Amino acid sequence: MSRAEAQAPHVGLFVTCLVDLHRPSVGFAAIRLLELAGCLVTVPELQTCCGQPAFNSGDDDTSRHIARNTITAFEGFDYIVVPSGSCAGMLIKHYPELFKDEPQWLAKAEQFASRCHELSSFLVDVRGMSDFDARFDKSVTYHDSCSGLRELGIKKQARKLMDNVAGLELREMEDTDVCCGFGGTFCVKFPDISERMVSDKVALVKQTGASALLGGDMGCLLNISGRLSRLQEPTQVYHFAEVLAGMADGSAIGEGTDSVPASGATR
Amino acid sequence: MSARDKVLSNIAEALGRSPSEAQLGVREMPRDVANRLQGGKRHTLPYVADDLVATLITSMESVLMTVARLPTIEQCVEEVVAYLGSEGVDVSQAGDVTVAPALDRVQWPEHYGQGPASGVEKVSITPCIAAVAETGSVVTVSDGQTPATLNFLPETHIIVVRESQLVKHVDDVFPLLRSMDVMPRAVNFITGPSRTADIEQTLEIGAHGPRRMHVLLISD
Amino acid sequence: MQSQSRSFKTNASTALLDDNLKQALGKVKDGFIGKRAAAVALVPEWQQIRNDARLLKNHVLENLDHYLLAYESKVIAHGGHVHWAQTSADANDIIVDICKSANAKTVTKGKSMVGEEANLNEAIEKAGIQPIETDLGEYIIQLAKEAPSHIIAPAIHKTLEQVSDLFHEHHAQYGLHERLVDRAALVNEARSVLREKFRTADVGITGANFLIAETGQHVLVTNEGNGDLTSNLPRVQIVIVGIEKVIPTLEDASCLLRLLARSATGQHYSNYTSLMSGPAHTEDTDGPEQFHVVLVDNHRTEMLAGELREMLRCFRCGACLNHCPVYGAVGGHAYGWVYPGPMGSVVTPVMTGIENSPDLPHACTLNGRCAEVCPMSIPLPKLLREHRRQTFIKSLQTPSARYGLAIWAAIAKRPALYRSLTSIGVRVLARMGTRQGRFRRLPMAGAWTRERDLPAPQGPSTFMQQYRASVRGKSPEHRLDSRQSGS
Repeated sequence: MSRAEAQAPHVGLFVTCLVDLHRPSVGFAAIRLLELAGCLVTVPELQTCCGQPAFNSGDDDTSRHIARNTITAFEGFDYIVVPSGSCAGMLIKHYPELFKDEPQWLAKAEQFASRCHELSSFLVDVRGMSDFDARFDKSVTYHDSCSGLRELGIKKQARKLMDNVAGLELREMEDTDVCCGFGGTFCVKFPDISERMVSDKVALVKQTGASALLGGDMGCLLNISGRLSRLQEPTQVYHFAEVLAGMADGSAIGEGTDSVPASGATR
Repeated sequence: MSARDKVLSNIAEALGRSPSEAQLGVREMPRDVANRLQGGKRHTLPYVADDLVATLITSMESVLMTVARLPTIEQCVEEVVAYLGSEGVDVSQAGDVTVAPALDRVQWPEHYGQGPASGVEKVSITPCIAAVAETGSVVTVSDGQTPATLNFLPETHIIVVRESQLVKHVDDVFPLLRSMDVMPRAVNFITGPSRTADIEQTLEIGAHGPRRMHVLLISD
Repeated sequence: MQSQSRSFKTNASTALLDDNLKQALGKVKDGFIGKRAAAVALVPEWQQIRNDARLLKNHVLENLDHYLLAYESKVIAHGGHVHWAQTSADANDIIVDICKSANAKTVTKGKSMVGEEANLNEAIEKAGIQPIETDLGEYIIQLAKEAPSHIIAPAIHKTLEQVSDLFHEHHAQYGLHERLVDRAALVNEARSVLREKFRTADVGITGANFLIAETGQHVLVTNEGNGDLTSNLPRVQIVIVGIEKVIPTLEDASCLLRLLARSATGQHYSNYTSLMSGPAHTEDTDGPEQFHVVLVDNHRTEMLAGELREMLRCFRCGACLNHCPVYGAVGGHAYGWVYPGPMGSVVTPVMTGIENSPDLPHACTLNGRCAEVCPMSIPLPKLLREHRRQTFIKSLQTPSARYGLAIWAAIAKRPALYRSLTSIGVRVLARMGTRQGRFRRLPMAGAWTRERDLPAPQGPSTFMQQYRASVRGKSPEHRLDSRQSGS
């Protein structure tokens, strides 16, 4: 291998189940961005899910089982990068918590956590890169996921990245720090409360008049996109990685090959 | 086992004390607790500008107190009469004003009363022991010379504050309290006229306590 | 108060349809939230003060018995009485006995959450004595015979019109015959009616924000002054307070007071911050003859012993409720007991039993805004997860939730099975949904699709399938992880 390749950090991509099942383009976008940032990327096959559904439901045994699988699957990488604030939060903050009574696994979990990063934070804070030569000629508003914001302190990084996207006009919405109502199993356990929360969020999105909504967490984006389209709003929803990697020319989240935006306008 | 014993033993158990340690009656207060109880250890204090008078007045006005600056205490009577006149408070009858006994060396109008609040007076006039620039509070204590009810019952409360009583932080009042022979029964930090926002979260003044607070700030 | 927390879901659904409630709660954004943010922004030292507070309170909890005993001995030295109550019922008995010994006909009350825990008013009424709430918000809901829906603003759910109606109905006995529609007029009316009650009450009962062990004082914080009138006027004064409220010194009180008003209402200091102690001194010309403190456990020692100890740092400011989007959507009554919102969801299962409130810890997205604003740095989401652990262990979650989780867990623990099942599922759903891009309806997804479309998977297969296909034949640097399973 070349000298550059030998020095390139080896990143294991933790794809997240929502990206894996729902929107592969986000995974490929993440790989592209990481490669542009000079990394070697591998996607270990033994990953399934970060374990949040079990952890947030109080099933610690299952959570620990999944955590052990994940930690083992990612041994040997310089970094583990995650295109989701909530999954990154799980790996970084909660894996060590799960093993507080098991010193050996605690040490492994802490070592693992120290190598994990959410995608925007990795690109900006670790690789020092914020310009990917991207173009996106739309007005955009950005949704901060609660876990990214509060567990990991992630907010400025995405703005820095969007600052350097040609043609992108950022219009911050009010109350970016208020939950969209997804909350994992919350949205199906308490659907009507979740509906109120997502409707409030959609109203704030609309208030900006932005043509697109970006974010870093598929759960939030599916939730908000689902409500936008039920209300026949034309706002297009993408993961920021897709925009940054120049891969946002396909269908947006919730858009089909047939679908015509509600407003009838061309994209 | 009395309820007291049970609660204390629950606490000891919760804190993982050994049974002999937890045994009531032989419990000894740990050194760090005993030291702590001496008082005086301050926590982080917020910044307060050095110009205490200006800071005090700004804080007080922000909580809807009014402040009149007077050179000496002798001007108080004139100011009180002028203030009440401008507020349209008629205090011509006996029993309309009650002054704290501590202020009796001031030449108040004859018909002003003295003592604890009767409940029917319109105005009370009291001194304070301190005023705090950090919060804009006046600090009053209860005793025979300064009955606490004067701070709460009348609609208008006038307080005499000397600039020498001004302190920077709330914590600066505590050495003063500790130096008293006996801790007063009530120590009130009063920061504005009485208010409530309990109806539709909109502020209304004069809930149960005074609806007007006027401070006479004496420069001597 | 009788717990209605079992019916949280139904209560919540009803509450979501209440337009008056929506309007009332909508005011919180500029009100409590906006004002708190503005007040905190003026204090650059905020995080340090918050940290000081956390450490001081942790120290107290580790020495709780010592500080309670120190407080008790000071109160007794000043001529007061200290009573200990293990349960809420015990507290009620003690207080009713004191009132009866005082031949009390009426009792004025300042707002007390620990009193609400005990349903103290009901106990007093049963003894043939009339309790009168003096905090305007509590007075309003007492007239309405309702429970408080917010711990700082108990009548937050009431509109001006509803308050006008209540006064019109209940104040006729005091000579009020017109219907007052002006807020100031209503406050004045409450002031004059309650003034009489303050004066004629035989006993005054308040809570306490803090107990100061150094001096034997309690701290009472109000904006109205009703706490002071309740404490200063009657012959007998009673303070009912949770054992976790004790702190060591005056300086410790000052630290916490810097956080309290700002967190609760956005004021830098509440109007009346009073340090009170004991009965009247001989030279006092006003004040009570008798002074009693009732220290209440009511499951607090249970929290002290377990994973929920950090909850005992709470001083009931309400910041967490104000910032919780779930509380903001459904209001306080949906929670079914004394304490709503995040802190309510932690405390209610302890005090009334998790079997009686199994939904509360789950009615949360774990977004963490509560913990961020909590002046005492209580990790509320972590404590809620602890309750979820308990509901899981005790099988208190609904059957469908349990089965769903069990099935998901079985799959997620097995990468090979996960890969094969998900590839099938995605292929099917993607094919079904490619054209529209979304599902209006989908079997088993009813809870989602009632008010949202479900975006269809991008397809045509999973990321892992596509990735594997794309790297086949590429250079070694892009190889698959060499430890892939034989799938």
